Amino acid sequence: MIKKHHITALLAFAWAAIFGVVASLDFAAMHKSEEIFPSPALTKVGHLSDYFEPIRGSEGDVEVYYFDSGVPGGTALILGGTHPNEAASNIAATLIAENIGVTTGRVLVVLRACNSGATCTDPFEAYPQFFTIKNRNGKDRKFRFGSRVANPLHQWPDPLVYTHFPSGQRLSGFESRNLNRSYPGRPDGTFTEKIGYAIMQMIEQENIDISFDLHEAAPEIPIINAIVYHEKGEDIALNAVLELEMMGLNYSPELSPDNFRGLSHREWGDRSRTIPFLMEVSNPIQGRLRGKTNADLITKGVSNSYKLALESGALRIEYDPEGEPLDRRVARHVQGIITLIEAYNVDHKKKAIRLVNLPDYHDIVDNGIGFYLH
Amino acid sequence: MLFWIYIVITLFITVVIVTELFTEKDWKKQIALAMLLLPFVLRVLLIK
Amino acid sequence: MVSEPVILIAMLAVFALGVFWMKIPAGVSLMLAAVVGAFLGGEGLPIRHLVEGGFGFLEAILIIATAMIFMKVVEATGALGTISYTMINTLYRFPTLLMIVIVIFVMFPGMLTGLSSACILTTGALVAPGLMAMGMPPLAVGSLIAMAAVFGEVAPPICIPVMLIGGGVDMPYIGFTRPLLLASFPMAIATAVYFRFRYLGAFDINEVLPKLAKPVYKEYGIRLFIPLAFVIGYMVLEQSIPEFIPHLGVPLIFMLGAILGFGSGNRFNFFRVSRAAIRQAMPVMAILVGVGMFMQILTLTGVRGYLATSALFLPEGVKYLAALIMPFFGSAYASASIIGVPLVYVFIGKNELVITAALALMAAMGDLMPPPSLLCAYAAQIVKVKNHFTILKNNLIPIVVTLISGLLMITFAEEIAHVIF
Repeated sequence: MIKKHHITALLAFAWAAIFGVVASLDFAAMHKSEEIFPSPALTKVGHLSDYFEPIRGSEGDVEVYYFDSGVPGGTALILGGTHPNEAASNIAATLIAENIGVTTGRVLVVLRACNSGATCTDPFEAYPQFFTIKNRNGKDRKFRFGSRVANPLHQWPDPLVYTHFPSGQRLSGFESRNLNRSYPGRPDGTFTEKIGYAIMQMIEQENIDISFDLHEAAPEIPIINAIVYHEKGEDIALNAVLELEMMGLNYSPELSPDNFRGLSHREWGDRSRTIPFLMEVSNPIQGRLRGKTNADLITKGVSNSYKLALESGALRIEYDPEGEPLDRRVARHVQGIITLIEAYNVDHKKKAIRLVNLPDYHDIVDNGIGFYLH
Repeated sequence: MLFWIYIVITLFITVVIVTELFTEKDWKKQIALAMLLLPFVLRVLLIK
Repeated sequence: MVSEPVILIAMLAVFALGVFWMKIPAGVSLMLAAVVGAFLGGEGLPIRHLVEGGFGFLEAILIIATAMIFMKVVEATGALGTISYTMINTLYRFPTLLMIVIVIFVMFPGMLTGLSSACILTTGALVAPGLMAMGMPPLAVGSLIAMAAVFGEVAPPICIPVMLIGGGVDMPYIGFTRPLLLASFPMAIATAVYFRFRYLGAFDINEVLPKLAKPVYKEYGIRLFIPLAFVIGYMVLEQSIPEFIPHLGVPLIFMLGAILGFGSGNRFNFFRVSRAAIRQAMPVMAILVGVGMFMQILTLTGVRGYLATSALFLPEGVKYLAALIMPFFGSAYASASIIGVPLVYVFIGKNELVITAALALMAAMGDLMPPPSLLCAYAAQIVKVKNHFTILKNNLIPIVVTLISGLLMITFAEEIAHVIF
């Protein structure tokens, strides 16, 4: 005879099973990649594993889009999606890949450098899993909004303290899954270190001259609306910032600190010939002060709590009281890349990279990013 | 390797929790145990 | 649309009703509070968010589960009783020194793991029977190990709240040893002395010793301590020379330690011991799942942002008191990541290492506070006190004094930095 406590156990189990199945369907939905429509300038689609075979077929093995003009010049790398909870990064890279034309040199674009992080969201952050943008035909393009770091299903457990290789710098264990704390990576390291290593290999093997790592940050983070540069890119950065200023756009130039290791703007520059730049824009959904957390906050960027915090004067906050829409955040990244490459071209005539067909800041803000998505 | 060792540890604890769920007499504690099962089972099944 | 303060009050009310009126486990009450909060926030029943929140403390839950299995094994082999017996038998003539040594001993696992609960589960459980046998009331023993666990979490080399704050402001975990020593050890010693003079009267060692578990050292010799030596030794080595020692992680170290228990002392049944361990740890593990759900819904509905933003509007004169809200998040990690990060900016211009260490101390108090009262709940289980809130109440004086010490560190951060660096 079935005992009463067995029946209640079965009921409790059934309840957990229902919750588990419903949640699992949502979790599983994030493993499907978005469809991409590259511009006609595309000459080849490769993979990150072409530079480091052991990651082939893993969640870290992402596509690399090559836009080669066939005219000798330099090579640029545009890396989106290092932190998949920084939507403007992936969307700016996507917009570039779907519109770019190259007349001199070549451009490599990675849309989701940390693809693993795009397959999950972080506990406690209550992030939406997806957001949509209407494309030029009025159809919804759905994009994933992921975690800052790699999915624990691909790298687990976290150490209590993450010791960066090779510097020995110590950070919280969570950061061991952060791609932008893992450079230069190592071939026999963790999942994230292997991805970092593959990206370093790509930079070296493709002789990347100038590189961009696109980011977003919470409005209260000190380095925001900024261009972080390695010391060897100082002239380019400062000239570009002046040029952008003349266009009415403020970017704060920030020199990469040499004692903060594992970041792209430091390790790429120290360990390869590339001149790296990292760009940050203000993204309220990443901030601790944000109110209700939903997809609108990603695309419209309107946060009443940040407006209040700004008015309080208690914090240094980079937040427009009208909001920080995704259109503008993406526009800043695209314009930043265009202007930095132009500044680079001034002193690198033989290794120049000339881009066409990319909308500028005002185009994107006026027409919206959807107008440039296919 | 370490990943799979942790999956085995998680599976072991999952089995213990299920055993406790079906021997526990108090339904309120059974709900707590079922709740606790959720992260363990989804991690063992490599879903989350 | 219901406003954030109303959502928060409703969630807290549901939690309190669940625990105090319906007598359901705190973890389940937290989940119900989260469900109500989500509904009021216009989110319906967001199952994905609830389950995802439940994952937030999975690492800590695994540590607690495996640490508990390990402790049950060490208890079953007889090692636990032998250590407790030896410590008291050696130091009973110097009760003040004994209390200080005991507090630092309890802090030890937290210093290595950054987890306050590890202190109570391991060394706290080791010393509790001895202290009670010496005549300290169970409530006082529970209170003492709960406070020691807080200081263990803050003390270097590993302080997770500092790392969480650092992660939010891009500050590497470098240069914190001295500020964290200052934040933790003086208060830990003061707490030991306070408990010594308030609760530890004269005792006759000949009456105490028979009340303790019998030592079994003569039967098994040094091999009795192999599991403990392995666990402590490996944790020390993994943290101090990570470049030479393979990373195993705390749960695996505890499981290996538990396996090493076979043949080290009295015989035991591993599955039965594991069941006992999980049964004992279940309330706290369920609380962590529930707190995770609760926090996820606080964020989803905007209550988290409301709390963090409200902190900024405190008048200039009481700006320093803003740090006082840190403990009331009910979790050191939640407090450090939610309010710790903006507070570092509130105090910008002062020495950020000292400020962050002081904020970590304030945040660590959160592990004592409701709704989960994690440390109090665990300490209550160890000393068999029914209502774990009495442990919180009994710690009122040490908590207030510790908060004052944290505030003083914040106020005089620059001056302190000049002295210690």
